[in-house]
Amino acid sequence: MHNIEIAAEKIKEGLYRLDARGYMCPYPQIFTIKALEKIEKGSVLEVLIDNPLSCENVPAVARRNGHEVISIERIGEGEYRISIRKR
Amino acid sequence: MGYEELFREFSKRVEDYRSLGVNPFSLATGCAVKVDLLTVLYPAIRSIRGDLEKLGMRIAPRRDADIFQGSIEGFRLFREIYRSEDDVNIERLKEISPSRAIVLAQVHQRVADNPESLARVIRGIYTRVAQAAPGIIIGKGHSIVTADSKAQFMAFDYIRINNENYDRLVVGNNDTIQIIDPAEDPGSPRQTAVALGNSLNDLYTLGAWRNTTIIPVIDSPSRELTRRIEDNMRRYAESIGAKLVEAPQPRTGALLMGATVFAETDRKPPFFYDEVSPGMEILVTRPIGELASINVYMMCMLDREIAEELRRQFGIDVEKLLDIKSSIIDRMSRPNIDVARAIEKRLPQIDEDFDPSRHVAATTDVTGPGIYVIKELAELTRSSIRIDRIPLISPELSEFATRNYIIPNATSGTNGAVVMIASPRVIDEIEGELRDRGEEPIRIGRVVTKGEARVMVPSIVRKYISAKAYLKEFDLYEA
Repeated sequence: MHNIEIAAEKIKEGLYRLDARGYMCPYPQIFTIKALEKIEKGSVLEVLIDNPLSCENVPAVARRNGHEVISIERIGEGEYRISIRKR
Repeated sequence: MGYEELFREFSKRVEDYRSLGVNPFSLATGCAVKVDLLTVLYPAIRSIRGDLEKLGMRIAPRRDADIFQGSIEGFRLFREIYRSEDDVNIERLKEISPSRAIVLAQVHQRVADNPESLARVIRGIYTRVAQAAPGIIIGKGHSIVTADSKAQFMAFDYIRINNENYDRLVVGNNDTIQIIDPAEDPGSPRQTAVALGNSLNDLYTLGAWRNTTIIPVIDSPSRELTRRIEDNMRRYAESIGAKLVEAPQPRTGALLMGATVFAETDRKPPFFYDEVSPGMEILVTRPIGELASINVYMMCMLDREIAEELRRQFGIDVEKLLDIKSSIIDRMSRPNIDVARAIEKRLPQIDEDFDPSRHVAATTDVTGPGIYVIKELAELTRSSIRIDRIPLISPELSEFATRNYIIPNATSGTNGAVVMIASPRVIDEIEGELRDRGEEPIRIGRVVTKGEARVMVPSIVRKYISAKAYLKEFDLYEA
């Protein structure tokens, strides 16, 4: 809806990636929820973050919205990949 | 003004920031920018403290301010900016011959992810400083995160005491914010006022306000913005009768504003932790939770559905939210000097003993940890404290912010209220005095027993804090 949010990129069928690195909490949470709204049910959204607070809050807000948090992986120093299946 | 008009203004503001090369969504609002104290900073400091002590450096226990005997005229300050240990000029440091330092460390958020990576970044610089200035005391440290990997630096404000003055104390502090309200011009006087008020608040909390000296910390992406922030600081200093002293600046191009500040006092600071006793009361000088409204506003601007949800759940539309946010920022931009004066009057002279019927026993200010600062007071005073109410500016916005994971602790503030512990008689006096000056003091609880550090909080606090690290520190009870 707005040009100020960041959008998820389609990697392949059923898999999307949202790169929220460089953003401070709470913005990765809202960008994640907005991205989940736009993808198909059953698809997976990978969210890349490097904000320590969001590592707790992105999975929490995804679960609260009824989605499945598949994994939280550390992919580098202070960098995380959170995989969420849209329900 | 309806949503569309507010959104247009907001979008324009975002573009203004972007034209400066700043992404407003990479900035933390207020004190939310600190390295996590409990899980990252304290363990990192613990891991390097032993080695540094062997070199003669002493890192003071975590405190809100540095305190030393002397006077404002009796010491000189030298600021050195380091990006890495190679920048530490040992000869220069020997020339300065500092006895203490106040340190600001800005690290990339990936470094602030865990204690090990933070320790790796700061160990080298601290070690070189310890080697060049044996016996130096790090009186106060302030550690913040940035989303910009190129904006890492450490600023050491070295203090050389030329003349010790035994009937006075100097209280020093440093604090910074990146921004308080990303929906407002970064060079507005209100942003600067909140930043400086926040630095001064730790002095005011200790009743220190005389001969205030401000040494600015300013970083910005443009010379024009830097100049505006400097002008704002000059005017702010004049308005409170403070002296402004120039010093080297980090010049990384990221947005940062704040100051190292000093003031004098001829009173003992309110560190009478052993004197805290059952029956003493807890007073908050005004309601708390300033950061909830700012962050909820940002979220509403990013997503209209959030704004709709807020209206449905709590009857707060964006115009009302804007009014609440605006009045909160106005309050945050006013210095808490009346509180400082009220505390100073109720502290013993340097050569006088504490008297519970006349003096304030302990104080702290409400910053990023919000209501959790009461737990810190309980630990310092080894007391069990029962909190009867959580005095929020807007319980609705704090609840909404928590429910939607907008901020993990919706009781947080910046340049926030001051909390104090004193006998009911002293609390009566302060409450009356502050009310006469237009403040909104609230009695929120009392000391129940001594010995064990516990804080009993109404379970409704779960509506206002989602961060488990904080919640587990409280004993929750059903009110």
